[in-house]
Amino acid sequence: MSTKILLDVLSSGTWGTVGPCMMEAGSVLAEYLNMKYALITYSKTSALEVLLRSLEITCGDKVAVASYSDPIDSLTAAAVGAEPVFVDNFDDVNDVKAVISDKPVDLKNKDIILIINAGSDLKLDCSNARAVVYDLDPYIGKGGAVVTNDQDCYYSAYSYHTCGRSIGGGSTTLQFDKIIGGDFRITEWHACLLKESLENAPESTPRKFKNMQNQPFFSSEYFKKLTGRV
Amino acid sequence: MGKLAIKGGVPVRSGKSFPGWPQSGQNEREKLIGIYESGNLGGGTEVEAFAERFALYSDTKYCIPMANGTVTLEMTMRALEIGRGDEVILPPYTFIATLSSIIFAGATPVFADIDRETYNISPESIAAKITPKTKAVIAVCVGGRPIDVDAIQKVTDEKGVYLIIDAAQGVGSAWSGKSLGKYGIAASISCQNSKNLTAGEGGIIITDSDLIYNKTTEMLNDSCCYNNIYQDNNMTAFQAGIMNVQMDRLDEQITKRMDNAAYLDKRLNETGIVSSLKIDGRITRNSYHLYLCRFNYEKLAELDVDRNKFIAALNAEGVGISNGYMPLYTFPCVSSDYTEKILGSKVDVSPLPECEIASYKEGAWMYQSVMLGEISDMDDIADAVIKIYENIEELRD
Repeated sequence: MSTKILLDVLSSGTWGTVGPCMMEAGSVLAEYLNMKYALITYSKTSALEVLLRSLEITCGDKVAVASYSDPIDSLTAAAVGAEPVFVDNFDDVNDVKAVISDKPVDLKNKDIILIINAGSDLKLDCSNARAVVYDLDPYIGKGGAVVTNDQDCYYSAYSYHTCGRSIGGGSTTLQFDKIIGGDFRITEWHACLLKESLENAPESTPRKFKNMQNQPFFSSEYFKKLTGRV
Repeated sequence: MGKLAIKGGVPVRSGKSFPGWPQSGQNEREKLIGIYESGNLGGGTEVEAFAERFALYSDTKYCIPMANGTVTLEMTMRALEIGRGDEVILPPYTFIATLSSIIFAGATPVFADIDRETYNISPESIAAKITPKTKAVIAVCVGGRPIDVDAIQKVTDEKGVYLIIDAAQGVGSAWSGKSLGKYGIAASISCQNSKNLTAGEGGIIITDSDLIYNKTTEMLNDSCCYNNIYQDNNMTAFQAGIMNVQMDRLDEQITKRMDNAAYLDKRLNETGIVSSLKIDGRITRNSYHLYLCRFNYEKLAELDVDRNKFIAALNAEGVGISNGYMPLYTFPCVSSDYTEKILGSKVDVSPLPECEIASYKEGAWMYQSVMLGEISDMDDIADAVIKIYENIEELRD
C-alpha cells in the first residue's frame, strides 16, 4: 500500500513545499492524539525550534530545562538565542519564559509557557501543555511534530515553518506578513507515510537523556554570543 | 475587440503549454520503492552516495546534504560562529530565505544594492557597506546567474570577510569554468520543489573548507558529548535517492536552457522594449532557474504604459512571466519586534535605488521549465512581446 502512496506523490509533481500529504498528516496526527492542531516538520529538532520561534522566544529569554534531559531541549533553546536554565525539578521555577519538560508537570506559575517534548511517546498525557513536540522518526523515518490546542500557536508555527506564508496562502505566492519564517517543511515522501504508520504504531522507543548542564558547549564563546552575553 | 489577447484578440499561444516540472520516470519509481523496501528512510547510504557524486560533480572536497537550502545558509554561518552583534551583507533582490537565515543565526542583515545589468549584488555597494562588524557577504546568484566572483572576492578578500555564495537557484552554474563551490568559503544550493535539481525539499553545501565541513557535521550529528548545538537538519534517504536519479538529467537540461536563453536573448534584444541581462563570457554555465529580462520602463512611460500592464498582456498571450522580487527591506517582518529582539538592534530598511527600479519598474522573469521548451516556444515569447509593443495603444487606460 505504501509504495502506491509514494508513487502517487511522485506522479503528482508535488514532492514538498507544503503538499496535501503534509496537511493531511497534520490532521491525522491531531485526531489520533485528540488534539486540535498538528504541524508536521522535517525532524524533532526542527519541530522544537519552530515552536520556540513561534512563541517568539529568543535572546533575553530564559527557558527552564531538566538537568538530565533530552539534549535537544537545552541545545535548541540555545540555538534560538534563549538561555537554558538547568533545574532538578520544575516545582518552584520562576523568572523564565518557558519550561521544556520531557514529561507532564504541573507548574505553579501559570504564566510560564509549558512545552512538553514527548519524544515518540504518543500515549503521554500532555493535556496541560501549551504545545507538545514529537519525534516521528520511529514512525516515518524522519520527522517531527508540533501539536497544540492553541489556534494562535498553530497558525504562528505554520508561518514560521514555511517562510512566513499564512495558511491557505499557497506555495508560490510571495505574500509575507510580520513573521520572519524559515523552512521547516517535511517532504511529501515522509508525510504520506504517517497515516499508515499510525495504524501500526510502534511501541515508544527509549529516550536518550543526558546530563546536559556540564556539556562543553554551554561554556563556549559561541554559546555566549548566541545568547547575547558577549 | 482588440488585437491583443487581453483585449479579446487571439493569443499568440493557444492550446500550447510549456514543459511541466518536476520531471520523473521509471528510475525515480524504482528508487522510491527500493528505499521504502530497504526500511532505511532516515539517511544512510543513499545520502552518502549522493554527497559523493555531487562533490565529484562540483569538483569540491565536500558536499554536505541537508534538509533544505535555508538551513544550509544558516548552518554555514553557524559554522563560522557568526551571530549576535555581527553584520552580514546581502542583496534585497532575493528570496526571503537569504534574509531569514541570517536573522535565525542571530546576525544583523545589511542590505547592499544590486547591479541592474546583472540583477546580482553590486561589488561597489558591498564595499561601501562593510564595517568593522561585518563578518560575511552572502552574494546571491539570482536566477542561477553566477555573481561577479572576480570583483566580489576581491572586495571580501581585501576586507577580510567571508564570501558565502547563495546559489539556491544556481545548481550546476559555473564561473570561469569552475563550479560555484570553488569560490568563497562555501556555496549553498536549494533543491526545493521548483528548483532545477529537486526532491521536493533539499539543500546542499559545496565547499573545499575543512572548517565548514567539520563544524556543520558536528552540528548535524547527535553525539555523546556536545561541543556545539545539535540540529537535525539532515537530508533523508528519499531526498538523496531521488536527487541522485534527477542528476542523470541535470547537464542535458542545463544545456537546453542555456541554448534557449541565448536564442531568446537575441530575439528580445531586437524588440527595442525588452532586453536581456548583460552577457558575460566569464559565466561558463548558467542554470537559468529563472530567465530574467528588463523592460525599457522609460520608453514605456513615454507611451503611458507600465511594466505591469505589459506583463498582464503577455500572460494573456500565453506567456508565463511575472514581475519578480519585491525589495526585502519593505517586508514588515524585517522590522518586527521579534526580529529586533533576536538581533538586539533594528535593521536599516532604507530604500536602495537600483533595487527599487528593478522591483517596481523594470524586472521580470520566467521559470526554468519555460526554458526547457523548443525554439518555437522562444519565438512565441518574442513574438508576443513584439505584438504587444506594436499594439501598445490598446494598453492605455
